[in-house]
Amino acid sequence: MNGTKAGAAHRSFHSGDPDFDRVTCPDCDKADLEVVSLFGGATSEVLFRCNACTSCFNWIKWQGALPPSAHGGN
Amino acid sequence: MAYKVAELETSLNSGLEADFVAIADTKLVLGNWYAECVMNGRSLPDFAGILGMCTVNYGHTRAIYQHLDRHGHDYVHLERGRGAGKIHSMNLLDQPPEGWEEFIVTAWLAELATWQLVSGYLGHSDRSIAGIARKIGEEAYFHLKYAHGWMHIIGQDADERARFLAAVDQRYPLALQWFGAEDNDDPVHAAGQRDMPVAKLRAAFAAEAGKVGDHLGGDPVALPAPVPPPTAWRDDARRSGPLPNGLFEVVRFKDPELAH
Repeated sequence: MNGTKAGAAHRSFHSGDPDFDRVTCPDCDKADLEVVSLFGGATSEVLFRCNACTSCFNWIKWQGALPPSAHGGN
Repeated sequence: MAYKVAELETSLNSGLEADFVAIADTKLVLGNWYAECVMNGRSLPDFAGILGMCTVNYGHTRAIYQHLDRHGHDYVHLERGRGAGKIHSMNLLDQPPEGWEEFIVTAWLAELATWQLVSGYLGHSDRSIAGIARKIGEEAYFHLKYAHGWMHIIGQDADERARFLAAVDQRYPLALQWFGAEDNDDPVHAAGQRDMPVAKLRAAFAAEAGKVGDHLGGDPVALPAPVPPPTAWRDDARRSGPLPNGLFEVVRFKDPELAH
């Protein structure tokens, strides 16, 4: 049901990403999520699957984060 | 006090203009790199991601050309009217990649370098300029994340890692050169246009590029030493020489009457 081992490892790698720490499921509000794809319906979206209620949803990437620069972090 | 809209169309500082033309032209060529290389992607997310990065970079180019157009430049000339010697893209992008690892190295360095230079305008008093800088940063954040993801994967294979590091040795000095010499005067900063001297932006670029070993997931990697710019270097263009003919053929916009 969950696909290949490589696919699972791929999702697990992205699911631990601190950028996605505050994402919760819009249906059940749980945070037990996995990243299905870094690109959802549009490239500006990440596709998530909720492990609690199994629904999938898109999440907009831009939350104002900037890459490190001479000004410091975000 | 009443004013006319036309009075707002002031000319920009020439150093600021030069920086933004260099950033916009580099992003124009980078967008073409993504368009040319997309079918070498390894998966559907690569296709989606690379095409996304392609259009975003074209969007940055367009936003900057439009801003310059509002300050005395001609958008049509910027987009279509310049020859190979007048396009100020980074020398880093002159030669095509020979493989996937070199493509990732080059895209990573180009995204990182353009972000570092434009970050010097985040606090600019013209909110359009500061806004363009911030938007580029927000989008470069995910472009760099894409490159870092691939570096994580490449680092797990000895051959791919070796090819990646060979490309870093070749390409990193070209990206560093874009910022100019370490001890150059910086009239743009002195004029209060950029809130950071370019030497600090250059150092920030080198510091981020220096994390390559972390991204690959192995031992620290020593970056190659800076290479002095060639004698034909043009400070205002941040490059030497014209675009190679083959690249210009890809990049240039076709005559409008032929573009049907």
